[in-house]
Amino acid sequence: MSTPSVSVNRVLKLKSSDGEIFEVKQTVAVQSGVLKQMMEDGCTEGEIPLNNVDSPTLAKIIEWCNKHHDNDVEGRVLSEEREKEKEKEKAADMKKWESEFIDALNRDEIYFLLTGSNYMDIKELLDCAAQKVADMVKGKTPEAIREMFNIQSDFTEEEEEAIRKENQWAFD
Amino acid sequence: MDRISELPDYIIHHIMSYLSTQEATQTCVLSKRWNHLQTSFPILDFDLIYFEEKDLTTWRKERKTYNINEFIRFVDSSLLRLCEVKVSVQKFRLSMSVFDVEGVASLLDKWIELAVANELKGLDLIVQTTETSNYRMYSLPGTMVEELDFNVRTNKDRMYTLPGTLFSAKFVTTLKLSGCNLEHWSSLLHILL
Repeated sequence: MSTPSVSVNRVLKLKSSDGEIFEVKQTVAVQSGVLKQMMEDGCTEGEIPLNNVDSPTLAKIIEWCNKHHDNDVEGRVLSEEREKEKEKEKAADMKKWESEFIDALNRDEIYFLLTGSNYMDIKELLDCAAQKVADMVKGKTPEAIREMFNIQSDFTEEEEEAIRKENQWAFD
Repeated sequence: MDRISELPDYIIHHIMSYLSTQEATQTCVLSKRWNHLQTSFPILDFDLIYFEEKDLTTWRKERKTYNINEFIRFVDSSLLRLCEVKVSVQKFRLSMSVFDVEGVASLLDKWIELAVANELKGLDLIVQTTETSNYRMYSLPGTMVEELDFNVRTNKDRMYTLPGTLFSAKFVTTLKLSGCNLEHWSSLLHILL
């Protein structure tokens, strides 16, 4: 996880699209593929502009990364002590934390989290947000999905009927 | 505001990858945008169990039957559409149980060829014969060579023989097979090593 240019105490200054500055430890920031690459290339001096991520979203992303970093560090100590049980507990706690974290967000916040984690290349967070949207879709009729996401159908009745018929098996 | 439809295709496809094939297919009626997203979804996961026949007379209900023709039509049209939009196939999973393997062999060949022509990356093929449905399923991660060998020895007669095209596939990185004959397995072994 660590690279020669990453040091525990150094911080990166991230600038959100609306101009707010966030300080993040380098050891936390490596979870972002983009920031990790910048650190390896040695170009993290000064403020790093993240033009596609606004401050509320960046705050959420950093909250996520901090939590996962803390858990990683503690996890390592525990495994050295061979406390496998507690490690399992930790993983379960993290799952619980993740679902509470993502469940507390509204639709727009999830949307910005998807685009933000994609932009910053934070795979685990992108997966978690994508899974959340999939869970919202599961078990719902197309009408209910449209309503939930405000999707306007641009099909005529006849067109929709034809598409349904073509994929009849999926609607039975 | 409909933000979700504005997400880039690959993020929506990532979301769809957490849905079952049935759920993912249903999104095709949401809007024209979603119809496009569904037809260009690069993960093809076909399972005959979704095509169970309903509204049958009581005597036939005792045994589950599947609408194989509808299933074949769906696999066929999905693959052809994906070829039209020139999307590379990330994963092609096919699970079917048929009475007569030989009857569908040429179709399977065609599908695999189509998928390979579209830069297929992962193939997961489960072909069972209904007569011997108590066959164990073999999935082949990791120790593939040993298990391929095993399959060849156990039930050669009833199996589907994989087309040679597959072994010239440039993009395949994962391959899981069960109930398939591997006449060309020695060349596959060569690729694996």
